[in-house]
Amino acid sequence: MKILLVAPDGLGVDAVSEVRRVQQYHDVASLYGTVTPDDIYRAVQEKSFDVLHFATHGGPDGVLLSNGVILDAETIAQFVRLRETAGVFFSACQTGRLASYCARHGARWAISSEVDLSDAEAWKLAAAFYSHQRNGHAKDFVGAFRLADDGDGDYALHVSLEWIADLQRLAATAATIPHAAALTRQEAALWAGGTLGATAALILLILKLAGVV
Amino acid sequence: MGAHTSMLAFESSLVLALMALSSSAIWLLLWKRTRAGYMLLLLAGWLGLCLYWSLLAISAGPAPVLPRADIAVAVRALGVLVALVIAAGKVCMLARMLRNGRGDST
Repeated sequence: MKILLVAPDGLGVDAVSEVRRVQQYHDVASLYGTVTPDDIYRAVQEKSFDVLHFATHGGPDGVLLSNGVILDAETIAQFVRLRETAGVFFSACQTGRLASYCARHGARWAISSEVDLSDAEAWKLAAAFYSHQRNGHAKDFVGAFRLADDGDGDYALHVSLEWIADLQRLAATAATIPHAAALTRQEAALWAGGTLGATAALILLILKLAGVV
Repeated sequence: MGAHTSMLAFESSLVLALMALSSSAIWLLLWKRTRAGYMLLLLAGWLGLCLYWSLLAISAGPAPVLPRADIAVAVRALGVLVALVIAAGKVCMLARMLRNGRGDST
C-alpha cells in the first residue's frame, strides 16, 4: 500500500515512532521538516497514494503544518480527489469533523481521533491498523480497523456513504443472481431427497398410465 | 406399432419429464431464497414442460390409458402455453437485470 505520510517537524509532535512503524509495513513517502500545503499538493499530484497519513497537531478546523499554517478539511478533500486517494488517516487530536468531511467529499474512508492524543500513544493504532492491512486485510480497511481498535471511542472510522450505497446496490443485485444463493449441506440433502421422491413418484405414475407396468 | 411408439419414443419423453421436474425443484429452491418473481414464471414453465413430456410419455407406452390421438390437441396447446410462460419469465428476468443496471433496486 502506498502511503503519503505528512509529519511536519518543529511542532512539538514526536512522530518518529509512528513513521518508523508505518514504514515497516508499506511503501511510504514522507514529508518531513518544513511542510507546506504546496508540498502536499505536489506530492499527491506526482504520485498516486492509497492513504494520506497526517501525524501532527489537529483540531476541528484542520491539521497543523509548518509555520502555523492550518490545512482545512476542504483542502484535504481536494488533495484526496486529485488522484482518488482511498483513505485518510488523521493521527492528530480532535479530528472527527475533518474525517467526516473527507468521507463525504471524496475519500472512501477516514480514521480520526476523537480525543487528545499523546505522542506516546498516538503511534499504536496506526501501527496496528497498517500491520493488519499488510497481513491479510490489504483491501479490507474495515476489518483492519476492527482488529486494531479496542472500541473505547478514542478513534473512529468514517466511511463514504456513497460507497456503502454502492455496496448495498451490489448486494441487492447479487441476491437476484440464482447461483448467489447459499445452500447448506442439510438443505441440499433435504431438497435432493424431496426431488428424488417426486421423481420416483412421477416415474411410477407414467409407467402405470403408459401401461408399462 | 404407431409412429409415437417407435424406438425411444417413450423413454426420451420420460427422461425429459424427469429433467423438467428436477429443474422445477431447483427454481422453487431459488425462488424461496431470492423471492424474485420471474423465477415463479420459470418454475411454472418447467412444470408445464414436465406435464407436456409426461403426457407424451404416457401416450407413447405399450398400453396407454390416454391414447395419443385423444390428447394430441391438448398437448399441442399446452406446448404453446408453456413456451409463452417461459418467454414471459425470461422477459421479466431481463427487466430485473435492467433495473439492477439502473441502480434502483435498493
